[in-house]
Amino acid sequence: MTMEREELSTALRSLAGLDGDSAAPVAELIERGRRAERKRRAGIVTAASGVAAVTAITVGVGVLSSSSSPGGGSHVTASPQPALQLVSAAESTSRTSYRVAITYTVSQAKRKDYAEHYQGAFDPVAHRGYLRMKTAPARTMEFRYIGNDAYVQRGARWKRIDPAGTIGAPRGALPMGEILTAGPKPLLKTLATVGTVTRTGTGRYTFAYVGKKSAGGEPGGNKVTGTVVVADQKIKQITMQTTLVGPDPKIADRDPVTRAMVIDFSGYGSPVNVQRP
Amino acid sequence: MVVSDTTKDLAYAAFVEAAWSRHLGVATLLTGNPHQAEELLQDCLVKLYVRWRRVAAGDPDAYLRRMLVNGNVSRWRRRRRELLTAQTPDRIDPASAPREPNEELRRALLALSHQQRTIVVLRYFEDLTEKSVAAALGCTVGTVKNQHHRAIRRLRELLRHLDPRQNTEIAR
Repeated sequence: MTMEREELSTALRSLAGLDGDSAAPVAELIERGRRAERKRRAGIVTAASGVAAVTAITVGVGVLSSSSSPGGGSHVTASPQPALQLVSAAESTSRTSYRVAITYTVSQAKRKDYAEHYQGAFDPVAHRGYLRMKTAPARTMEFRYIGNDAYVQRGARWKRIDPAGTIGAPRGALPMGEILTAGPKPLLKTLATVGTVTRTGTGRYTFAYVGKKSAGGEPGGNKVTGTVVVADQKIKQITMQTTLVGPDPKIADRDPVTRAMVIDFSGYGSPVNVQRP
Repeated sequence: MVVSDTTKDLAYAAFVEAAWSRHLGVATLLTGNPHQAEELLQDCLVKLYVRWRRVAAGDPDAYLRRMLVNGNVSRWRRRRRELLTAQTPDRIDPASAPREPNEELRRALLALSHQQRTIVVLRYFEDLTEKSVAAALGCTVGTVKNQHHRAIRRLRELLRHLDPRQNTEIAR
């Protein structure tokens, strides 16, 4: 045998780059683990990370769509007029740059809330923008969208990624990348056809719908409620709250998981300065 | 025995701190890319957290190793269907390739099948016995022996083909 075992072992150790510089992100892993555990307990089948985002429009918006399909949720009552007003407001902002601030919170009784914070900006005309996610103290992940390309920063390095697979989203939440690049239009357009949209005051709307039990792993159906705030014919804020309904109501009701999203749109017309990494 | 969340977290954190570097090395060799390796390892460790109470009683290292092996194959199958422009090519024109021994070895490893690469990594990087490698791969010891033999033969061919003068680091 010409290949010496010891030499190959040494070469592999050198190739593996075991220089001890990379510290284990223990806190982040525990947070992610707790979140996964909560989902698992609630009987949620989450889609696999990157691929999930390709179909992530099903989350939130997708659940809405499935409710409107034949045989879908029978609880939904269409109320197009206020919804169309929202679409109109979204249309008027679709050619304008904007800033986005998103807070996504998962709550469960007797447990500390888990929260993710995102901030970004997007110019739909130039099709460029960024989204920063705060994952843990002193750890920030940034995504950049330039034309048809997307990039993610991990540590000091940038990596080109599939634009559709940027940030996955769990059930009951909207995919963050979609919120940034598509703006409020897709969600509000879907609300024009399903769900109940009620005008509660000047520029204030509430919506509600029940997602049907889907073949995609949804255990029971999510009751989703939310609010939309419009000012100066522009969408200012969208909030969504989802409470999981499990297949066995006794189990689900004992320890319900609630997800909330607050999406603030601001800075309409402000320039977005972001460069390709 | 009921383990509290705090005790679980402490035990898990201690394991991750201790195991991170070595398993990151395994993941790097399996994927051929340090960024993908960290993603793979983190995904596996998150899954391990969920199963920690059950796994901690046994051999978490072996469990994590098997998760890495399976996760790497699943990742490859998934990405095979995607259009990924950032994917490092498995083969590069030798004329344009840098001639560092590490880079040559990395390319040679990537040219092996997943099973062969895993066997080489587990045998030579992790110093596992053929029996342990078979357990990690979920195959027989005979398969490990057979694939190990083929992998070493293929490595020799590849490294010799790239530049025989610089293969002295791992081959004679």
